[in-house]
Amino acid sequence: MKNILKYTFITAFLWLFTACEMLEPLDENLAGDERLFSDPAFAEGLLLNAYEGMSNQLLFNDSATDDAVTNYLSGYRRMATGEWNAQNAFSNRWWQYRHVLYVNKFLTVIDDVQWKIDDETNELFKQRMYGEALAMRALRHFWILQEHAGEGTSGTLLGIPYISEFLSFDADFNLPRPTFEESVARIQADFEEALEYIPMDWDGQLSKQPARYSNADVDRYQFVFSNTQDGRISGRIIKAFQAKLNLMVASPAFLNGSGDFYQKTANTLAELLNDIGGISGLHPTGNTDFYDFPQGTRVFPEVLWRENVRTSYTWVEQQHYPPSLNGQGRLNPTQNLVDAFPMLNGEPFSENHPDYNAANPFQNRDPRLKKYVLYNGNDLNNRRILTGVGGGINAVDAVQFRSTRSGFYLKKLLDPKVNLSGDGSVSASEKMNVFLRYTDLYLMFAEAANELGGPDNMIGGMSARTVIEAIRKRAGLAQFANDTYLATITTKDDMRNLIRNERRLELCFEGHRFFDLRRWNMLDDIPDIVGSNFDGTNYNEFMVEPRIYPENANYAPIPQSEIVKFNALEQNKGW
Amino acid sequence: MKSFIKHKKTLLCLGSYVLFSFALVGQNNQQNQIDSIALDSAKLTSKLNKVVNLGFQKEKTGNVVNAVSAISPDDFLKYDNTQWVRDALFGRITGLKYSDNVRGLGTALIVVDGIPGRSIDLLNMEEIEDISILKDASAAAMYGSMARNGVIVVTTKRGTDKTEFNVVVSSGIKNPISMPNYLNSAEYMGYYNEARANDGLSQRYTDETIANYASGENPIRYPDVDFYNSDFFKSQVSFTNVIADFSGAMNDTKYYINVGFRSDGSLQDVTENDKGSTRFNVRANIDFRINDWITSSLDAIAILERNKSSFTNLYSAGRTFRPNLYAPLLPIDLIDFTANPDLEGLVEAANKFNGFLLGGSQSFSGNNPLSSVLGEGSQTSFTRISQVNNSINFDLSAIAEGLSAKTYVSFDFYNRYNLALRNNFSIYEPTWSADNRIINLVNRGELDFKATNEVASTDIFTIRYGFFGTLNYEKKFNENHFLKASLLGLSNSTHIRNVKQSENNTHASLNLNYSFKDKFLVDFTTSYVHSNKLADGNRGELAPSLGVAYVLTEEPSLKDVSWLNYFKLRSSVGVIYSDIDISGYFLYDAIYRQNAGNYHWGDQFAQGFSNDYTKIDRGQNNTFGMERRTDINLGFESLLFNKLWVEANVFRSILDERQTRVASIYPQYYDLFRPFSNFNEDVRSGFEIGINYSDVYGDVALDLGLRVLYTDSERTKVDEVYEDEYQYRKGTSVDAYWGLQSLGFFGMDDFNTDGSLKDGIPTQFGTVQPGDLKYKDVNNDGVVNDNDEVVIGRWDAPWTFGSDIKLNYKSFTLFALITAQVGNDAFTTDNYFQPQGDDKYSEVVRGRWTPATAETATFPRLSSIENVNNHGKTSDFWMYDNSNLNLQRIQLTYDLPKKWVSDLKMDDFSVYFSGSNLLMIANHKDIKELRLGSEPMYRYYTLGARVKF
Repeated sequence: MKNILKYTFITAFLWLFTACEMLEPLDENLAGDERLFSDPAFAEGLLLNAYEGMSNQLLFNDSATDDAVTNYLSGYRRMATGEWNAQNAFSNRWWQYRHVLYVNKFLTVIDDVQWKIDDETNELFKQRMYGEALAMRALRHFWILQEHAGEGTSGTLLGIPYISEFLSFDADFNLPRPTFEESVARIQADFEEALEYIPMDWDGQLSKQPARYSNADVDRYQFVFSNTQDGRISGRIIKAFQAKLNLMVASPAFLNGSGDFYQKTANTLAELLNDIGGISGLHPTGNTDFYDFPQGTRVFPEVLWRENVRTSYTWVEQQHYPPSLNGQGRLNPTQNLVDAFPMLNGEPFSENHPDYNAANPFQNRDPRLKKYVLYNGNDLNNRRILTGVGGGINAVDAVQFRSTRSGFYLKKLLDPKVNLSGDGSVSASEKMNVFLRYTDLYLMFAEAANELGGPDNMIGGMSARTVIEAIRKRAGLAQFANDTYLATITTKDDMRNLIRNERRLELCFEGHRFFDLRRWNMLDDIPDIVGSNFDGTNYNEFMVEPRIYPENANYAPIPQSEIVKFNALEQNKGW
Repeated sequence: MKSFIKHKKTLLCLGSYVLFSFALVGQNNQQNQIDSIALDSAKLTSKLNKVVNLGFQKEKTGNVVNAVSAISPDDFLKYDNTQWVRDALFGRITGLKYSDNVRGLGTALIVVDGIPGRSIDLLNMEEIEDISILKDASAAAMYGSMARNGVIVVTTKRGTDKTEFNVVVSSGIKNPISMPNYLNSAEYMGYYNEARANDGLSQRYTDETIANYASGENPIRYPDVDFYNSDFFKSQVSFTNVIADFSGAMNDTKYYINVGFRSDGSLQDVTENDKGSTRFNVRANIDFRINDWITSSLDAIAILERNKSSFTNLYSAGRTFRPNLYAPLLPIDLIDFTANPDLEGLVEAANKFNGFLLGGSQSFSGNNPLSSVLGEGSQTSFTRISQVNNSINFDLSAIAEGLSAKTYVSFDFYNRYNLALRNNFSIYEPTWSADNRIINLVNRGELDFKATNEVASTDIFTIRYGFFGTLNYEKKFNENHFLKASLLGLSNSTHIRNVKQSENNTHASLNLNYSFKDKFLVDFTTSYVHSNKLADGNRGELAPSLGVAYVLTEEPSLKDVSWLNYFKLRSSVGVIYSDIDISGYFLYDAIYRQNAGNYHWGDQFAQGFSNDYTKIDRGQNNTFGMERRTDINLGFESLLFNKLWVEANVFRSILDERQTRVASIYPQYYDLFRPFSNFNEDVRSGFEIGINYSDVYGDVALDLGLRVLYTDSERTKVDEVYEDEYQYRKGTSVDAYWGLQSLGFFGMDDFNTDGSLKDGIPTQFGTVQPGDLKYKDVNNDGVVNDNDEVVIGRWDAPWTFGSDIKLNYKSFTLFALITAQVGNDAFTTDNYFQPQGDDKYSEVVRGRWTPATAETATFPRLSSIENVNNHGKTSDFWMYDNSNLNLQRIQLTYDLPKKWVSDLKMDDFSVYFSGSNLLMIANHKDIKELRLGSEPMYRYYTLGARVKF
């Protein structure tokens, strides 16, 4: 009897023990919808998605242009050498709608979240974030437009769908593309509305206070709109992107000057640039100090928008240092780009130029060449790199996936102070993601001003000529004489070419050229890539890889998977 | 064992001599053998009464309603001695594909002694009583959700009243069937230059360099490294396996004890660290009586395994080590100390290996397999497994006649951990003088550091609890009606360390079985299945199944037909609800996370701020439910002429409500917002035939088994959207390979003089050249791209064959097991077969396309650029017919004369010689036999003896 009781008890106990544990999954503390409403930081995280993976200076899509190649099989390399199609939309930005959806989701909860206990402060918070959400939504749409706008199969210039609502799982996803002008108007409308909610700068100054807050309590206003928001999108940043959008709209591939888009671009930029002192605001070290700066620097006059400086940010060096310095030598500048750097006296590069030295073609050249491109004999923080004879593993094609394929390594954007050891240890480096810098704005202004009225068309006290002059002067060209070459540029066409070349040089490897070439209608016929190898006495040029772009390459494809699913979505011509 | 290898020839000769002399002696004792022949041919008749284990019940074969196949190792182990359970299953069971795939459905549930999820790889075949395969939904229903892919029920032996003692000893060698064959340095460099030239690039290696490598005069400066030779690998490896088991009874207690030891050598043979593995197991299954209505059993199992090795497996590492990379060993006597006296100190301090330093190279500093083997030390992995089972059986006939109950509890513990003694080691890159002396050495590795502490790390730590209880009732109503009922509750939980959710299974089942005069048989099961992966209110499903059988030979009119001994028709339908393919928990819930990156702002005026992005994992769908399998099975079993057993089934399973994260209606940016739902559907169907034939021809007894399985599948509902009709996966088989159709190579005449493709030839991936692969433009849009993929093959063999043949002549028994798979395809995916870019070149490169060899080429033109042309696309160019026929095992057994055996006080004594993987017939045998993982494929030769007291 004892045994029966014992066994019955054990059995029953085991049943109970297992039953409770078995039927319910372990609570994993997962956060569902309700958390969005109860936790302001969690809700704000939805909005912050819009800041994730923004286009910065480290995109390295330059290997899809004539400026660079990669020494490994990157998507951009496959794209540039003929594999680009709608199935393999390598540069695709369609997925960025995801960020738009997060913003829209944020807008569905913004009113229900208790941001601050004090009612008025709470209201100010809400309005600030509302403006921020609109601005980021517009910005994301701009980036998508930049990639995917184009002439549709029907021949009309098309924009991209503008998504202003959160799409639930049963929503209609079959969204048609509005006209290009309509898309632009929608983006600008969101930007404009955002400007009603967001001040020019995050400094709490009442002079920059948007009109709608004029009745707000000053202390509360200054608390909510203080400089703790610096680095989030501001009125100034919105205006810069408005100008960027307008310039794109005015460009040859789109409205080609019709409408007042060049004028709007120039006006907005003149205002922004005059705020920092016009021509004199061009920072003397602005062409290098946004990537090569002393540790601890937190003030960057050159930079309009950036993320915080991060320490131990060294993947860039690990990927792009030459192999002898234990990098992977990934991005290799091209001879094509090197040839675009003028001679030291400002005249275009030519082998017939009197200052040309065949044994060292890098002599007597634009000083930016030495700063940006690691050519044979150049150095990285006094570490001399040879890419020709005697170069060892740095020599052209010496080790696949490590050595250069063109005879050049990247120097720009790298912190030359970084040491990579063979055993994998890396010295520290500070670096930041840069989203907007003023040199870009100056060059955009020059482009718009020149298109409007030629080299000497003055807008807001500046002209294309004064801007280009300042930039070339900063570069170190024609140091001991006047820029006589610039003086010979008198027509709009010549000035356009010069501005485009300066834009190419100043902003090289920062991800701009890929989009510039497309808005200038030039990507489809860029030349094949040439490299250069030093054999001890001569530099021999050789073909590195072709550039195979179809005629329709200036308008990127919408991913085929989307076209197949949604019949209202029109593909760009030729894809 | 070492001495065995040393003297293997002599020993083998001796062995065969012993066998031969026994054979001669055996001739004189043939009288004794007749009994056993007679016994064999009666086997098929006795099969009908053989009891089959159905998991929770037992039933005579003749009365089994559902589709079940079973084997008992004792029937064949003597003639086919394999202790690896998967080997014993493969090819032997009707309806089983490979070793654990029931009717092509996927990996079946394995149940060992009542507990689901245990591994059969932990068992010796010797300790197994029987194995049953529950194939249709109706047969597997009692296992609930886990039975989705069918069930393999394994039951271990238990004690007997008779005292028995069994020993099986086997030992042998295995040798690699095929080793990789890569090109040597000079040949590699020549081809690599050709690849560069094809790409329009300059030569990498000058003729002079190649000549230096080819001459072999300084193999250190100009190395030609090949690991696949006797310097690093043995030509054969020895193994030994000893198993002893005892069984018997004392008073009311019966016991079965099994003890085994196995050792397996290592093919890699560089240092003493390459030891190989040893395994020890012990099992004690004990049954005892507590009182007159309660009996109980207690089983305890322990397994210890140990495997010592160096840190790098040269067999796999060698595949990426090109012959000319660098010399992995630098002889100290090549160092010129007079030219560079500093080196004396360096060499003094360095680790030396038989007069060598470890070589290295800055460019390939991560690729140093041999240095790792020599310098990095050793690791030992230990596996410790213990299992405890306890059952209590209650005979409740005091309450009602025929009522009984059983509880079963088990506890498993698996632990694998590593002890690593890992050194840091230096590797040196030499600088050479003009006269081929080393004048400088630079360390490209770590600083030498000899580890003194073993570092333990646990890989796996798993605990499993299992429990089930049954309440059984059986009653005979007059002579004709027999009713059996069982109620089952089962739960089972597996906890793996570092995995958050334990895997829990709970279900209850009711089984009703009715037979009328052993003629009409009905089996009804219903299971209530619970899943804790689903939303509240959606967690339970009721899964019914019904099987009926009709034994025609019980009809009076057929009872006396002499040639038809038995004939049964059967049919079943059933449903299984399952959550085993549901890939996680809370998948029905919209979940947000804040752990995937953050934005940082505001460091200009303050320290800076940051907040995480709040990401969504998936959308909400509370109706997300279990997957479903619906089965129909129709078949028969028959015995003809007392010699021929034939069984056959046709079957069809609809697998629907499959977990799908529907994508075809959402844009790509909606990716993470998509909910989980039940959408896709597949149908699997096929038939199986099993035949056994036994006969005696004079002195010769023959047993023949033949099994055929045909399976097919179709995707009947697929979440997909494509441009063209032919791209839809719907309607194709589940195992279809999709790829491009190759049209051979581009020829010179496909191109204009400027290198562009001629008009009318479709463009494809990047620029192409003569010698590149050419694909068919299926949709004729002028471009070959991913849209031109069509079904080019299938990976699962539709036809599976297995056959075992046993021939007995006097004291000799010859056994052979043959398996075949027909109709499946495979790809040569490894770099060995598809080298490109900087990959190591194997012998396949010799068949590359050149203008001169355009007609005979077997490989595209070489390219030094990885994948920029269309080389690596999935296409039928790289596909081969994987059909094959294998002689899995062959064994010759000799029974020692009965008289001798009984004089030695033994019941049975046999010796045997067997071989495995001896013969393969396949169109692409060379590809199939070259295994490119961590070990080659082996051929096994075993000599063994089996003694029974």
